[in-house]
Amino acid sequence: VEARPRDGGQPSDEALARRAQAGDADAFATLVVRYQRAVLNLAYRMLGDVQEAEDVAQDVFIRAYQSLGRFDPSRRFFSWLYRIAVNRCLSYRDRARHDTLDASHSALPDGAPSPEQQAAQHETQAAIRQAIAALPEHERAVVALRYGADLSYEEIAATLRLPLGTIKTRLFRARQRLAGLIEEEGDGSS
Amino acid sequence: MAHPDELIRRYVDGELEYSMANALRAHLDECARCRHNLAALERLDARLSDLDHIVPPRDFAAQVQARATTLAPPRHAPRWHWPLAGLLALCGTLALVVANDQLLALAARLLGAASDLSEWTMTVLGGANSLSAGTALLGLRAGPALVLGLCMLGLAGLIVLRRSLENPLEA
Repeated sequence: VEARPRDGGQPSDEALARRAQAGDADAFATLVVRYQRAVLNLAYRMLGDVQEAEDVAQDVFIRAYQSLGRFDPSRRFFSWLYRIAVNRCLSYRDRARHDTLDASHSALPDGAPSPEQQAAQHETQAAIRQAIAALPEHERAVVALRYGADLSYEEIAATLRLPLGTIKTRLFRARQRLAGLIEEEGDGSS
Repeated sequence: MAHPDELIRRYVDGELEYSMANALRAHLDECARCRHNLAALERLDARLSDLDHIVPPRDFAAQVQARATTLAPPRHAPRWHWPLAGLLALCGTLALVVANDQLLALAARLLGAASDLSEWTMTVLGGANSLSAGTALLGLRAGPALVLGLCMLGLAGLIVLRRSLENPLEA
């Protein structure tokens, strides 16, 4: 994940956002490049479909661009951006009303494993994605931020503006639920 | 020890202190249910961490930029609301200071009117115009400074309230 570089002489996200607010298109482009992978994978965890994730991720950046004037650079940029992303994914899901995921649209993973490995991996990952899709929205958002955008508990709490304890509880419940769903899936398919 | 689900979570997340981790391990030696839970959670955590990450298309950023250039450039939202609310509150307070005697008279009349409230209410309910009835009851003769001061304070309050309720994302 390319998110949140802070050192190496790179300008901070907030400095770039300030420049983008002043009309610097290159600064906004840098932010897009910096966060495209994290936002895309966050959307992918939330939606489970590559094409939908790409569409929503683009929409997230466009929304962010349009809303830049309201961003307060004294706050963390990534929290603001991920909050937009979570909200867009939730509203997209509401609109689409997809109750189940179509495994035929699933993403191909990075790298190039053998066809057999790919098939087995594909099946396992599709089962996990289906289990994630079956989670309640508020738990799915926490899972997506944790495992899609690789955020820490503290960063998730800041993004969703919730107490740290709530985040830990939600993630724990989500993981328990996922473990149950995946086991059920395994039992059902055996 | 009862089934310590919270300790298991902290153990999986690497948050458990050494002594507590030892206590948990001792419990795990004796509790098949917790052993099963821990193994399931660790397996799940590994699977979730290993989920495939997708790579943005090569032209993703360019596509976003192309769409963004068709939109109006981001405008820095003027942060006028707090200074304006402060200015209104200050002017309103000054106006009330100028209208000090009227304000005191109004307060006294409000207090005095409390005892006649039921009678006034009956008047209003009886069909009389509520504003004129109230004004007549209070004997209110508000000067411009008093009216202006109250209006300014009310407006300042509205601005503060609106900003407090505003959704910062609007996304």
